[in-house]
Amino acid sequence: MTTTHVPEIALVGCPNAGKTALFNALTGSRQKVANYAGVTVERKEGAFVTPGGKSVKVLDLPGTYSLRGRSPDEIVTRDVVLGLQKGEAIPDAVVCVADATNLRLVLRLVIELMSVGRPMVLALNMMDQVEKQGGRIDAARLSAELGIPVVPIVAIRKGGITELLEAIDRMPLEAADPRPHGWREPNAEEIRATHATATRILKDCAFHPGDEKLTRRLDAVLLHPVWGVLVLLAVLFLMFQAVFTWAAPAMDAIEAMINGLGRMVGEVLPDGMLRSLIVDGVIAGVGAVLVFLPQIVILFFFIILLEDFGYMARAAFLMDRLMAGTGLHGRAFIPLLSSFACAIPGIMAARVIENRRDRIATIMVAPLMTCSARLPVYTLIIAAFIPEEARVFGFGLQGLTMFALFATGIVSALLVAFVMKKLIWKEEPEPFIMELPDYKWPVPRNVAIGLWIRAGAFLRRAGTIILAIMILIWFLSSFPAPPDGATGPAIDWSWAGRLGHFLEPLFAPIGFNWQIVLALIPGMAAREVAVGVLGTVYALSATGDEVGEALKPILTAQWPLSTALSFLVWYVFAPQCASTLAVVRRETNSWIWPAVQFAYMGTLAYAASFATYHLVEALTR
Amino acid sequence: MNETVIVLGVVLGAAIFVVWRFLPASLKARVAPTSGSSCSSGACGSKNCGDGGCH
Repeated sequence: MTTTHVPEIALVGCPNAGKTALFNALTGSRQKVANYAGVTVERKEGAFVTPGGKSVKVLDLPGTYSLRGRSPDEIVTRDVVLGLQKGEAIPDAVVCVADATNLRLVLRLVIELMSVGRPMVLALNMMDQVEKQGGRIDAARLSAELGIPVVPIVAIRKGGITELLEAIDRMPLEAADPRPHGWREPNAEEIRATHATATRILKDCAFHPGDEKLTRRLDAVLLHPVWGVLVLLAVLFLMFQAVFTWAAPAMDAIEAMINGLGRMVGEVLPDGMLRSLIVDGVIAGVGAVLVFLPQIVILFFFIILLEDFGYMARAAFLMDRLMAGTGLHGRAFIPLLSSFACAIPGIMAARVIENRRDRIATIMVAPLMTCSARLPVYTLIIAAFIPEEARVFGFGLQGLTMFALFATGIVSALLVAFVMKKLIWKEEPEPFIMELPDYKWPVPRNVAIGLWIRAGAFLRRAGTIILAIMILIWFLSSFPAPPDGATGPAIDWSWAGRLGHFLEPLFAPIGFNWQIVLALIPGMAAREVAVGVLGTVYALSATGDEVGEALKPILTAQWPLSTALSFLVWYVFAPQCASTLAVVRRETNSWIWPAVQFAYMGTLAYAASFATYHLVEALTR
Repeated sequence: MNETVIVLGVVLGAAIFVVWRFLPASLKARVAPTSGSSCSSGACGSKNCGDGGCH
C-alpha cells in the first residue's frame, strides 16, 4: 500500500496583512483549529484543490515581521517555516501575504523567507486600497526583482484568488527539499543590507502618491527629539483638556437624569427596604459611575484616532529613548500604552517581550499607568475640589490636574523601572527595531466601532459587576438597623460602618475618613466602584435635606482639600485591583512578583498620600 | 411577595455573582466544567481581558 503525499503550503506575513482572510477565501469551511504542541498558539489548518486538480493543505501561521522570532507566536512561525516545529513537517511552499498599502513593512520578511529556499509566491493583498489611494505597484517588475511570482489579490472579496491558485499550481511542490533548513539569525550588517535591498526594490516597483513625501515631512517634526516630544506633550495635554471641557454637558445631562430617576422612584415606591435598595444602592451607586461615560468615550476617541492616524507608533519611537534610559525595553511601550485602558491586557501584551527580565520589569510597572477605571475617581475629586473657572496660563486647572495625575503615573513607572534596573537587573535591555507605518486618515467607521466597543464594555461592567457590588455594599451599609432611640446616621450601626470605623485609625495619618476606608475595600474588585460606594455610603449617611443631593457637593462640604488630594495621590499608586495581581501571578508563574508589586505600590501609595496630606494641611492651615 | 424576601433574594443573587466572578478559573472548572471564562470580552473592551478576570 502506498500513501500519497499531500503538499502543504504555509501562509506567512506581517500581522494584519490579511492572512486569515486569504485562508478563509482558499479553504471556505474546510478548516481545523487546534494549538501547537506545548504552546498556546493557535494552529489553523485547511485544505483546497487547485484548478489543476492538486489537493493542497494550507497552514495559517501567526503574523510576524521577521524570522528572528521574538515572541512565542513569532517563534512558532519561524520554526514551522524552517521545519523545526515539533510534530510539524516543513511546508512544501510558502505563500507570503503582504499588505500592499504598506509594502515596505513586508519586503524584509520576503527577502528573509526567500533565503530559506522554499518555493514561494507573494500575494499582494489589499490592492484595491492601493488603487483607491491613487498608488501603483508594478507586480511584474516586483516579480522580476524578487525572482518569485507576485499575484495582486483582494482577499476579503476573493479577488485574484484564481490567479493565486494558478500560481500555486505552477509551483514545484513535490520537488521541495523535506529537510529542516539551517537558517541562522542575521547580524546587524546583514539586517542593514536587507533593509537597503528592500528600500531599493520599493523605490523601483511601488508608487504611493504623496504618502512618502507627507510621511517624511510630518516625521521631520513629529520624530524630532525636541519638537516631537513637545508635540507629544501638547497632544496629551489637549486630550485631557478635552476630556473635561467636551464631556461636561453630557455628564451634567446624565447626572440630572440619574437624580431625576432617583427622585421619581423615591416618590413611586413606598418607604421601606426595597426603595432604599433601589434608590440608595442601585441608582446612587451605579449612577455615580455611569456619569463618567462621556469622559471614557472622549479619552478613547483620542486614543483610537491617534492610533489610526499612525501617531501611536511615533509616540513609541519617541518614548523608546527615554524608556531605554530607565531600563525598559522599547517593546514595553505597547503594553504600557494598553495599560491606559486596563492593566490586564497591558500585562498580557507584555508577552511580546521575549526576555524574561524585560517582561517582568514591564509587568511590574504597567499598573502605574492610569487605567480608565481610575478616571471616575479622578474626575469626581477634581470636579469637587478644583474650581472649574481656575486658569493657569489660560489653561483650565481641572485639565491640568488630570494631566499631572497621568504624568505622575508615567514618570513614577519610569522611575520604578530605573530603580529595579539599578537594584535587581544590571544588564542593558536588548536593542529594539520598529517599523513606522505611513500616516493615514482615520476611517470614521473604525473609530465609531472602537468607541462603541469601549462604551459597551463600560456599560456592561456598570450593569454587572458594579451593580452587584453596589447591592452588597447597600446591604452591608443598611444592616443591622440601629437600635431604638439611637441617634446619628443609621449607617454607623451597620456592618460596613463598623468595618470602616475599625480600619479608620490605619488610614487616619493619610487623612482618610471611615467612608473612604470603606470605599477602598470593594475598590479592590473594581477601582471605579469606590465612587459608587461613596455615593451609596453618603446617600445612606444623609439626613433631612441632604438626601438626594449629588455626591460632588457633599464631598466638597465634608472633605478638606488635604484629604481630597491625598485620596487622588493614593489612587495614582495604590495596588487597588485584585484581578491585576491575579494576572501578574499567572503571567509570571510565581506568587513572588504579585507580592513584590503589592508591597511596593502599597508603600508608595501610603508614603505619597502621607506626604501630600501633611504638606497640604501645612499650606492651608 | 414579602418585600424582605425580594430584597434578600436580590442581595443573595448579587453575592453569588460576585463570588463566581472572582472565583479562580481552576475552581470554576471544577464546579462547572463547561462554564469557561467569566467574560469572553473584557470589561475594558479587550478580548484579552477575560480569563484572568477584569480589574
